[in-house]
Amino acid sequence: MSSNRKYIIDLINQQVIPSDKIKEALTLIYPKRGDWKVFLDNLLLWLGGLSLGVATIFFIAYNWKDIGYFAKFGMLELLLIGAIFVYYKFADHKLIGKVSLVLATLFLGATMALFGQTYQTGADPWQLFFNWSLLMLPWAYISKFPAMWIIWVVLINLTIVLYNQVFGGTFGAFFNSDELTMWLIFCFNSLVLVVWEILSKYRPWLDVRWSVRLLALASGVTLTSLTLNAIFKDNTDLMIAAVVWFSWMGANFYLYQKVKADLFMLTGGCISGIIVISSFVFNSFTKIDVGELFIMSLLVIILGTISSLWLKRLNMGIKS
Amino acid sequence: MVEKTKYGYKIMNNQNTTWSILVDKGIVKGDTPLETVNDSPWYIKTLVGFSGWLASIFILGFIALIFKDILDQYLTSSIIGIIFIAGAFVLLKNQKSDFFEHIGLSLSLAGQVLIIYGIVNISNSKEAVIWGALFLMQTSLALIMPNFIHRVLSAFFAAFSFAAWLSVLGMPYLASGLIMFLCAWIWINEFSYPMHHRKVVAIGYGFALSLILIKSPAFFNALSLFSNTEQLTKPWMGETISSCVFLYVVWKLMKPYQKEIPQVAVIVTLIITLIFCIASYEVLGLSSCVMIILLGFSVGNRILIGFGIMSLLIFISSYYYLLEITLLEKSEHLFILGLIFIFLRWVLQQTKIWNKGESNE
Repeated sequence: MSSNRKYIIDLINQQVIPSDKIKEALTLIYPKRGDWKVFLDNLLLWLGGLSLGVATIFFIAYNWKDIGYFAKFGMLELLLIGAIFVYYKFADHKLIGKVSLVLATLFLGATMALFGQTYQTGADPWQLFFNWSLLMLPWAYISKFPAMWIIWVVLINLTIVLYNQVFGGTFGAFFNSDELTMWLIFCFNSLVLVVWEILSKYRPWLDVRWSVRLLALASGVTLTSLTLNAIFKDNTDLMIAAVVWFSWMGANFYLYQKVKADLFMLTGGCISGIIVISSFVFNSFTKIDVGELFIMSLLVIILGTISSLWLKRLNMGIKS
Repeated sequence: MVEKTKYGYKIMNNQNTTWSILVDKGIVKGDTPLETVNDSPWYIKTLVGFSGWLASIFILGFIALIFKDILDQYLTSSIIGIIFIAGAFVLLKNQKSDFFEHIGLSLSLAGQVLIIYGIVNISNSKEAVIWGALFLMQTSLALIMPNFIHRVLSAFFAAFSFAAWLSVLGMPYLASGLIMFLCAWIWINEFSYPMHHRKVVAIGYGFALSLILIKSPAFFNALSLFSNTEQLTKPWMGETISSCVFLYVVWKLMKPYQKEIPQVAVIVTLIITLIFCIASYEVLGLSSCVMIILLGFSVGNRILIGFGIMSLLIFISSYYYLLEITLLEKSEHLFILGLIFIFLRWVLQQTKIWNKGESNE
């Protein structure tokens, strides 16, 4: 739908399409009745599934004392079995299968939370998310659905954050706890990104750009923050951060320009470059005065201009 | 040229197919035009906006140091701000290169901060005056400034400051419904003014982004920060306006198909929409997210659909933190909504009217 839209808008803007024919040309953009049916079908199913799943989690989180734990466990297990039954029953229906597995994953999370509430195991919160991610793995595997794997990645990220809140101090002699968390998050998301990109060659269902871009965003944002920390706070060894940042930037620019064209990734790299370079220059000034601020504004404008010119030129070729 | 890349051939083929259809329909004649306007994707625009914003911070510091004595005179700071914006207008109007676009954006943002600084001090920090002035300034800039990114940013801030202004005046909750209407109206009429298409789209994106923010549970919780005076409006008023807007959107979206589908189906769809609006009353922001998704689909705009889906996921997860009602009540609302959605899907499956008509897919 998007390429049609862009192209027709291009033609309208260039006045190639006469003004009296615009309405007729636009019929190529507007969805037909059949498209609406498929779209509404998907939308309603997802909205319904999401609402029911989140409602269950909220219900358990409320910890309503009027209902016994036995009844709550029974309810959750019924819901869980129900969702899996729906998946089994509609295995051929792609959408219902996916929604039911996502729903089962949400119910599983609610069950884990209820388990923690009931038995007061003294377990740390990270264990809840870790166990949740572990138990949902088989469903993620059979689902062949990128969103399920993204849920898994989010759960592992949460596990890392919560684990380091408890045990981060153990490595305190070597690392700052927050820094360690960010390095771990960066390493994990980058690893998943690499594995995802490699596997997507052999598993076409994995070749969905939004999920890969989300992983790259998580990886890039954490690395940029770590590099900024190294520049301004001296918490991280600047050399380590610089080597990792340059390697990451180099790999990003090479892979997403030469191997698998993706302007989004290159734009992300450029934004990270603008932030890191301007921060480095700013921090290297011994005093901040009129001249320094003028240089900084000019530097940012030049970096932004070079980046956008380069990206626009690539866009001419790729039109991704 | 497009042929250089592996994706290029596909694009050319898509364009050739579309061109052939247009020729067959008698809309255009001759061969495909070789040159197409090369509009850059949204993320490149984001980069330009971001670097413009970052540069404006340094420009502001630079100006503050140069004119530090003059800036104490608040009127002067506002005048300097106006001169900056005028300079930015000239640069953006005669935009000859990306370099000048960046400078124009940075100058304008710095100028806006200088004007606000002046207004804050001249008005003795009276919130109503500040937000009102900000709203007027941003609205004017969204209409006047000849740059896509600038219009998106100005429309975003115009809508946001309007919401804050009404809250300060003791009328919170109303703005979200009104902005929802404006956002819907703009996207429904996206192609009504072909000569101004880029302006309309830029303002539409700005309003959509602002609507997502204003309708979020976090903004709802923060409304009390804006509102010190007696509140003349209640949350249900805003939600009622939102429901009316949602009905208006559904009615407008069905209009092109009204010749093909029976009148009774239109009425049933509107009744179903009303049921959805009532059920989602307590789930703040849900109707606006769904509206953005529907509008995006109706005009084949994937960016708008993406906005809607992202905001939907953020809203549902942040709904947890809404302070007004308990988790049990939230759970009830979502549970009922979930059942309604599943029921509506079942109704859709049973209805034959949507089966007819070819599909674009």
